[in-house]
Amino acid sequence: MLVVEEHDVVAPPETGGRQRRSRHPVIVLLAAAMLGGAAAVWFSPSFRHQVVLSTTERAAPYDELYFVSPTAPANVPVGRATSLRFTVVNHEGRTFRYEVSEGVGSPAGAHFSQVSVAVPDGDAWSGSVSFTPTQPGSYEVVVGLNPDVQIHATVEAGR
Amino acid sequence: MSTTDHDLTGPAPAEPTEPVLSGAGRHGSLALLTGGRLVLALLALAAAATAVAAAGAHVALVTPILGLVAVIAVPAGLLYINLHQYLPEGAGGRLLTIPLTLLMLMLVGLALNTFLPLVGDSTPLGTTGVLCATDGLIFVLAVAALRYRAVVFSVPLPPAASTSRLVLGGSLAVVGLAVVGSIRLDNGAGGGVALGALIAEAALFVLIVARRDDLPSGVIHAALYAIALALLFSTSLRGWYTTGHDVRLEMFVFRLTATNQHWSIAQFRDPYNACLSLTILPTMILRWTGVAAPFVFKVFFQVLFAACPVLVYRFARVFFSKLIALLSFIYVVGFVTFFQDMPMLNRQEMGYLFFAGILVVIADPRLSPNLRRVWFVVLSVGMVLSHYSTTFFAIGVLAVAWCIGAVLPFVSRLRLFTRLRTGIPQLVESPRRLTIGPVLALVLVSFLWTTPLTHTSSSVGSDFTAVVDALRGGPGGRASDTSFALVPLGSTSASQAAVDLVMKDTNAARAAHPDSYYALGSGISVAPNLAASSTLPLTSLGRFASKEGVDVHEVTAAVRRWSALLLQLFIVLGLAGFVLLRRGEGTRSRDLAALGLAALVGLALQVLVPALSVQYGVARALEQSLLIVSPFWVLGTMLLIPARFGRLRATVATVLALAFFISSTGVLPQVLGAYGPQLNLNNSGDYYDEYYLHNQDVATVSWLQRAVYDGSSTTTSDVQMDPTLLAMARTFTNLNATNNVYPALVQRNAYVVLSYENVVLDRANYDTGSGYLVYNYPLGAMDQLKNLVYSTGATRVYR
Repeated sequence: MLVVEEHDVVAPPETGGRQRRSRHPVIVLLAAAMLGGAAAVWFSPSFRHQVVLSTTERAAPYDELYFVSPTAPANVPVGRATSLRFTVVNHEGRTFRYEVSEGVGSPAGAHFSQVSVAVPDGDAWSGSVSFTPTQPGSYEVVVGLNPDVQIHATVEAGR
Repeated sequence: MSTTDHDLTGPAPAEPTEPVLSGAGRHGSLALLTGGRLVLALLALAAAATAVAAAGAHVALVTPILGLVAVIAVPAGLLYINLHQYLPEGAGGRLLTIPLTLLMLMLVGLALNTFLPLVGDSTPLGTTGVLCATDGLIFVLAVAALRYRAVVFSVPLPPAASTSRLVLGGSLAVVGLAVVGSIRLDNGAGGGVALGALIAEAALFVLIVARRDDLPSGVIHAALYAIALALLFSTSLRGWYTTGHDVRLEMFVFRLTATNQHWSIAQFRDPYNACLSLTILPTMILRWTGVAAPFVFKVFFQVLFAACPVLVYRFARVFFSKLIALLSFIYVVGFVTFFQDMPMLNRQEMGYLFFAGILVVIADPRLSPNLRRVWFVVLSVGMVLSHYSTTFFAIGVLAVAWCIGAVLPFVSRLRLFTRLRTGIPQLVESPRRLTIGPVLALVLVSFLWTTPLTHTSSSVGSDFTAVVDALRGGPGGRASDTSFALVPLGSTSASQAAVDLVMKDTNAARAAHPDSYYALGSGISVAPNLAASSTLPLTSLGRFASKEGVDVHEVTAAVRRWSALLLQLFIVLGLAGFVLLRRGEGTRSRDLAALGLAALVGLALQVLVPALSVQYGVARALEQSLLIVSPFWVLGTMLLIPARFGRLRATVATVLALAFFISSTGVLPQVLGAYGPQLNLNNSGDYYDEYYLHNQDVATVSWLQRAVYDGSSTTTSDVQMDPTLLAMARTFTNLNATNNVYPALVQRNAYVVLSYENVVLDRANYDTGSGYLVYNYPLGAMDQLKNLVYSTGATRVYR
């Protein structure tokens, strides 16, 4: 922008060159001290963490867990094998080991199992919950992860 | 050429006509350059930016800054070289090149958008078209500027005085602190740095006020700009996505134009889409800077809008002393709407820039009448293209001001006023610069744009009908911010009325389609369970005060209540003093008095006519009015102390202004606690809960789009979403859904998407038409009724 100082105050004249020269060692010493200090704190991990926290995006870690087909099968005949696929997506910012618990609650009782999988950051892992209804009623399929994430779906079985 | 500005009581002295210097070189704190060299330098910058943008190279910070320089600073500089003889003199004229450049860009973009399709280019606002058109504009301006190649212009150099350097260093520091403070909050850290930024801004302002007579005006302008920018960044940079209320629909229309590389009002016939400040302008900036789309609003619009309060300072400076103009500035930027809401109202930011430009043009005593009319009309076109509501309010204020100015001579002859020997005759004798012709031109331009050209005036018609109904005593909503009203407005509880509305709507919907919804009971009821607002915990200082028997919450609440009350009293008092006192502060001006009175009339209408407050909002009307009446606020505080105690008077006015700033910006509640958290300082509070978009929200909506919408014919009723999440989802997707997850209205076969706010904060929103009713969400009931098919822990999708 082009500017004319409209009501400028006239700057005081510069003091003599000798005085300005005499300041140089002080300035150099101060600059060296500041650089030294900066180097010292830079090598401190907590300081570096604070710098990163203050200047760049640090996404909050989270995980996604979902059924591949969001509409659960309705009215499955008794005796037919049924499977619900699910997917885990890792957004933790690092490879994360998930303890995946999966199971089915049925009129006859509940059955749960657990698997352990390591998923690299940004990657997905898919599994499935399979069961065969042995009698009519509601079958509750539940999948959970070790960070507090859970999904569930009810499958109705009939004759 | 240098003169000093030691005016404690008077307005700004005449500035020297530019250019007055001869011979290139160095002149004190100024570098002198010929017009020819300046043109070459600006062309070199434009060439470098074009090369980077055309190559598609993206270097962090470098590409965006270079792009912004090319699309704004270079045309503004060339415009100034071309028009320096015709603009208001001094800083006001230089600042005016910003809105004028924005208008040029909108018109060039509109021309591209109109004519390129005629020759077969269906994507006129793509990168190639925008770069070529802007470069063409720069080339034309540069060729025209060569007429002044031998004229010498001055460019400021870093000042030598230590105070000036301290102020400039402080200016950089407050902006840096505000940016770092926001980023730290966005990354989940505390609000200490953001609070430090506010305290630093207050300290910098004190330094400016204390040393105002020693500081060059350029340094003062730079520091005021920095304070304004820091305040805007403290809100605009919250969140890595779009954050805020109106900005969600603003982003939607921006995306529509940027994605289609073409603006068409027919794609979305809505007043938002008729604002070229939200469609063509940000698209042009996006093409040059290459940033992620939300950051055009988050960063670049704030960089531009921060010039507005400086323009207001220049406007006040025409009539008042430096102290009064400075304190006016702090009231404008310290008012909560400025730093908390304006970054969410980008179309209005651009509208205010043009409106402030119009005020400067009206006030400038050295513009010829014809030039004043020309600039008034040109800036009016910019305002109309930028924002409809700013335009309507401006038309009202300017027209009423002209009427008051016309009536004032008759009033001054009334026996009452002649006996009292008021200052009105002095006002009548002052030159009248606000004429009716440009105001009528503004009305005409506004009509042409909203009616035959964009057909978006239907909302104006419905607003007018609502206002007429309200004046006849009919029903009508009222914006929540009428709490700024001086007089309490009735006893009916707004929240109870909203609860009644929700229950009525719910019962009606359930009665119409009884099989579509789940049975009542087990957590599902027609009556909402209202959510409580969050409150900051007591700080150690707050605990200490509390132990001493102080009700900390009540202290902050009382300060806020009294601020709202006193600001209106002081404005009325100051304006009355300006009109009636013969020896008041400042230059007598009929235009200023009339504008002040007209702004008050506009505000009073906003408060008294509920339909108006719903359409525009009292707080927004007050912010726009403050561009005019903030000096009267200062005058009102000065009238507390007799004029003979000049130093005490100045001190009291300054302390009151600072106290307002510290309370309004959130410093006071932050250091005491026990009060509602503000978005600029916390990761909590109403604005955070409602408007902050989380990673999990984005992931959920993206999954939904892939899994449910992809290739399917999903209708609106298939998906239900909280209204705040749906509004935010439209900033990055084209999702369509029912904007309600109210449990008693959840449909059996619908997907129900619950956001971070719904799941983690246990709050959901019901859109009542005039605002949101916030209620607690029964997650347990939803778990029993529906399958939970997607979860991030913080967000859920049920089916």
